[in-house]
Amino acid sequence: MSRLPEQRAIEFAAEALVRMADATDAQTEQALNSARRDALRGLDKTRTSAWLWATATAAVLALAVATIFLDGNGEDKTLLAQQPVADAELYRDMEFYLWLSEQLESE
Amino acid sequence: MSAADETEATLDAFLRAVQRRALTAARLSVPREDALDCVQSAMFSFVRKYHGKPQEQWRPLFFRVLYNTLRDWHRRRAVRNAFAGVSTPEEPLEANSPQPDRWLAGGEAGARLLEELRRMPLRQQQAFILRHWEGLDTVATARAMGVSAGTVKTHLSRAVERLRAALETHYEPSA
Repeated sequence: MSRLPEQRAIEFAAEALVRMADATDAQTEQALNSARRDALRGLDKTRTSAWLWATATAAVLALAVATIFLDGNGEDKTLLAQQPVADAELYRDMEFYLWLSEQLESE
Repeated sequence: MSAADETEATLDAFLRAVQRRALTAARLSVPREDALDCVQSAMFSFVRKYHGKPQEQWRPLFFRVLYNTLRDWHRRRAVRNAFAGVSTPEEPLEANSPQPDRWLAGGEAGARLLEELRRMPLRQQQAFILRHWEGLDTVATARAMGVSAGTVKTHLSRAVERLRAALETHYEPSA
């Protein structure tokens, strides 16, 4: 018995898939468009979070540089003594930024 | 237009171009009502994780995310069925669809092929869709599937063999 050549089978199947995709009704198409727009809105949230993380990271770096500078001069031992307190406040700030981010996203 | 707006517009165009094909691929594997959810979930994950990747990598990455989503759906169903003591149905998923594809009535061979694609293991189906419908080369298909090129060839060979066998009764070679 003769068999369908491999390439023809591939072409038939691909054609069947194209016809299935083309048969998508208007309601489904609308749902797909809506899903796409929702997904792209997620891109804005990703950007906002990235911006907040960048700000928080910059704040941590600035604090670290300031600490090293002051320690190097040996002038302000008080700040070194307060280091754990400063770190704790920084973490509270980060929590605040994250909370602020969630509030902005929910608006 | 800012770089961010340009990225969003490019992403929008990409997703618009693949959304129907993604839904078609999903509908071969899961019921119609769940297929749209899987595509939506894949779009979300893709945008969140991979929007910064080079554009030429988007297609294999998107389909990788989609097929991971579909595989998760099958795993969840298997667990649910195991708890409920239900066996996995072997009949085509679309058979119970309230809105069968209109064009199928006019093409028995096409319907037979789609049925065979639905019945084949997800890995074979995935290899066939990515390689022969999406037009990815073997390396990109392997990357999208998370397997080696050799494994892709094995799955493809089995998939095509099943399709050829399914069409035997419909094939009349020209003299």
